[in-house]
Amino acid sequence: MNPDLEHRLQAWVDGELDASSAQEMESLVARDPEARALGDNLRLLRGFLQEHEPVRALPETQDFYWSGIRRGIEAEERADRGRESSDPSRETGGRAWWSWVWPAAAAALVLVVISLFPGREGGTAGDLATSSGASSSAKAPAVVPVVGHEIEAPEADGMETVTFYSSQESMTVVWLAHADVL
Amino acid sequence: MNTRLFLESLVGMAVLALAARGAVGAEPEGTRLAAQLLWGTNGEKPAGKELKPVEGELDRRLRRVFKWKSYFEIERKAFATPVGKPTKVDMSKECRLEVLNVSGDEFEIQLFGKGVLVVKKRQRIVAGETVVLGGDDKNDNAWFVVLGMAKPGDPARP
Repeated sequence: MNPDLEHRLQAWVDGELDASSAQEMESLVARDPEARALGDNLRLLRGFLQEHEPVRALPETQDFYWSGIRRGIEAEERADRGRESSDPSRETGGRAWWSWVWPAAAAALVLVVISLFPGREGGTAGDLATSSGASSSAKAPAVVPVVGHEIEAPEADGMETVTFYSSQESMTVVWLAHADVL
Repeated sequence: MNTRLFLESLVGMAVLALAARGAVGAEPEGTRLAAQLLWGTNGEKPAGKELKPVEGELDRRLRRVFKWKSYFEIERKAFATPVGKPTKVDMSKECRLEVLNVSGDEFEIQLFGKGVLVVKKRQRIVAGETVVLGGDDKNDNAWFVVLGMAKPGDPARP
């Protein structure tokens, strides 16, 4: 029996062939004792593995976790597009309505936060992004911005403040760009 | 005899009272912190200045977080922080710290430059944690005020 036929037989045993190919394999097994013996052996082996091979749950890595979320979002977007294409009224109705609610809610949240922490309440992610002095001073992968109101810079004139915490180095950094200290 | 006994008792009680008052009245020293004023550069150590290179773990930690390759110590001071009483620490002629121990390991740190409050931060400081106040200086150099728990060998220099 040639290898190609063996592979097709194995695929048939695994239920991977389409209907016409599967029918071909059934005919082959019926008339060819060698193919029938191989098929029987493969079935036996498959059953043995299914019954006795231990199932091991692999720990989900962080990359896999986030890529799973990304795949979920992409699948939902695809489903949304599918629904929109099948229902044109959603384009101007439901979808359009939802598309601006979340940005509006986010903008409102930002305004609330700004109004709660007025002035140069440093340590926000925005500060980290806009402060050229700080962003060029710290090695970005090692640090995370600290968001909070525990910092004040009342006399800061032209000064930019960024607070971040490096968990790796157990270090809280308050970066005062353009500060007149020395 | 009775008078002598009375006087001895009186003196004894007075001594005990003074000792007790001293014990109660003595302020707890509070957490001892150490502050360092550092200068970071990618260039050479400035000639003519008495600067001690930062070495060991702090040097490695700073280089892992910041872009500068060399750090030099301008000043180092260890000081006690009694709870509720701010401690003033002059780090240089122009740079001053005021540290208030709010409650145990929580501190309010104020940094003054040229007599003006530059930043005030409330921060928890425990063993192994470091607070770095820093900023850019001329010629792409930087200054740093590093605060952490004092080591046992740190001399007290308020």
